[in-house]
Amino acid sequence: MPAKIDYKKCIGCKRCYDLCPMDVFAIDKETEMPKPVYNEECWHCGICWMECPKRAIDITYPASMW
Amino acid sequence: MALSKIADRVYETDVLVVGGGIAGCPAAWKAAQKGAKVILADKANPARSGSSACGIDHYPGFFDRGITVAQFNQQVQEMGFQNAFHGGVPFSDPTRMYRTYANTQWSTEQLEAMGVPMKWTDGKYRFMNADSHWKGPTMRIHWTNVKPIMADACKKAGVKILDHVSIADLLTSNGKVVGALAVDNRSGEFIVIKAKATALATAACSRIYSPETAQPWNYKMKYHWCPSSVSGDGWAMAYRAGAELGNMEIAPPGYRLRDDGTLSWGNTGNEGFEAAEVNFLGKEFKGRASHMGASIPPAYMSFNNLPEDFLKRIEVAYVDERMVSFKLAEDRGFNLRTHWYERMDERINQLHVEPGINVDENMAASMKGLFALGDCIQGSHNVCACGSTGMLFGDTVGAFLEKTDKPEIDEKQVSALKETIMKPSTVSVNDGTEPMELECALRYATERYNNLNKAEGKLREGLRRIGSLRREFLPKVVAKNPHYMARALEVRNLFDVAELHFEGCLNRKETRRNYIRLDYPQQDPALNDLLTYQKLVKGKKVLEMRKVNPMKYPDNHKEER
Amino acid sequence: MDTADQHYEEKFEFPLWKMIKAHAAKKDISYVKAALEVLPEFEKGIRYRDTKFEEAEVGKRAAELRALQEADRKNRPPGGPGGPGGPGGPGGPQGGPQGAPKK
Repeated sequence: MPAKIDYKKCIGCKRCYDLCPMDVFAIDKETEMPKPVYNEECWHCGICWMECPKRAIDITYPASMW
Repeated sequence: MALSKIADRVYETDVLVVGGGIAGCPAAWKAAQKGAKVILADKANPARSGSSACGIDHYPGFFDRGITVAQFNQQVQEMGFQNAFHGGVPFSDPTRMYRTYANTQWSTEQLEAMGVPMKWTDGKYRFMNADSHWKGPTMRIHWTNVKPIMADACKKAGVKILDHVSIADLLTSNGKVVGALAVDNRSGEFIVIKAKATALATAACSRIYSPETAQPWNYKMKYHWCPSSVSGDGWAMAYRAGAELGNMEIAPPGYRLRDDGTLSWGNTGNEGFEAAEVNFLGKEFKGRASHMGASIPPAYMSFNNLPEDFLKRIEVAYVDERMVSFKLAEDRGFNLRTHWYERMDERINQLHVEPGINVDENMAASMKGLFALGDCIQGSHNVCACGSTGMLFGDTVGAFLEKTDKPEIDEKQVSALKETIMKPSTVSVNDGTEPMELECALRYATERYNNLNKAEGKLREGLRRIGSLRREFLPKVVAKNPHYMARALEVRNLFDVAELHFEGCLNRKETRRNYIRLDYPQQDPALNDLLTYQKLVKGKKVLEMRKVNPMKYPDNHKEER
Repeated sequence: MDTADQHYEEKFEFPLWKMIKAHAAKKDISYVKAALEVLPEFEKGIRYRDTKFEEAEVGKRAAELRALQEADRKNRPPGGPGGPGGPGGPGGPQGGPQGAPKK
């Protein structure tokens, strides 16, 4: 799967939202936390995963790219 | 009608740089350093965008070989002609190539002034071995964070960064380029940017051929490089505005690695030690030895016999180029010591390096006010071109600005283009076609009717199919929200690039190295030193083949800085 | 033969990545920050400036490849109109240097 955020670790700094080269993330209006929305455009570059200050994001390859 | 009524935002600037990658950022930074008012527009965030979004591990184009730059250039030109389309030796304006190479050391120092690390960890430069992948003086670099560093430097230099802004079309006036139109792909706002000089740093185009994975279901955006940086936007916009492009038919085939993300590609040869290519029995081959089953898939890259030291170097290169490779490789048990990385079929998968916008030694395109940088350039040749061309442009654009009047914008032109640009945001979701669906239809046509084995009938059918798709579906592309405007605008550009590619191929009736026409299997000597140039003249497509300009600089020329 | 089979027996880890993860967890920082901090230590174990060693290894390998290419060329069945050239590297110009100009 593309980015999966562990909300137990996420502090809502929005770095993933700011930096994603394909703008995959959006900010949830209610929680004000980032969430991956345009998943079909994720190219699994790992920028969100490597930039997250709390290491709260997991990236794995989905079945269709395996 | 006043611009403020047509547009949500209006900017005026000396220099507009389109694309905040490793060509655009140096250009914007240097131009600002030299006193120009600069806007840098990027579809996402220059801090992590473009080919080097995650980093990169090599910077080529130096001269410590004991030959002069002019001699090297001459060699490159000759190789380009005699062994055209082999790849690695594309052809373009020789004076520009000379200038790019003559200034690699200077551009290195400029990048360092920008804060970009060029030296190795121990404080000295590190060049790759003579026998390494690039066969030329290439620097090994730690560029994991090149993008955040460059973006930060631009901000500090006073560059106005417009992030999440997709430039959609160029504005023209009396044959000059006077700025651009854009869409904010988060707010949906329509933007006008008036600029004396517009520099396209939008890289090349991979998205007219199929993506690099086997059967992508959702993830059709899988490419080795950032997908939004390989949509050929600058090429299409320049073409629509009337600028000249070259070599659009040239696309040598290559192979991708099936599990690309599990190994940073650059690693395979950038430390000098070439990996092995093995067949399914593990037998090593080199070249097109089809009797060994080498060119019949599956074929593999193997690092099994790399010395321990070089395996460690590859790990370092993972950090330099794409850290996520560690994770993705471990998930699948891809241990460099044991795993074989499957190569995919050899086919055309990108237009890069040879095709592009024809520019002179000042990076100036065929229309005044328009410039192109980095991989956007026809015959961009090497990665260092991003730093060199960007820095050179920034350094010398001042002279152009001094003798250029304020841009005059035609409101009617803006209104007319706005209608086309914003159309996807007005189409109803029920009636519309999603950008990716149309893109897939286009890519299927290119894949099927162009690619490795060309023939007139196939090319004509492909062009017919693409024309039919364009007529029927491009007006129906729907952007459900501002985010999808970025994708909708890309699809429009992909059509232009694909058609240029097909038309160029139809015209070149010969086989030359990797350019294969089944119906013209011989090389045509009459085409030996001719390149293909394409542009729109008063809305009509013009294609001509001609020689490049002769080189202007003497052998011992030294750039004065 | 599945060269990833070993994964299911013993989970393999990249030594450098292991260092990065540990450092990131210890200092509670991002992976990218941690990577740049541990890199110099990891590099100490690599003979980057030992040009004799490097040239010997790279030269040996280059010679192996030249011999292999020669052997392949001799054994290749007579060819048609010059098939696809060298492999394309996503990292840069396609084709690379591996294919010497064909006759």
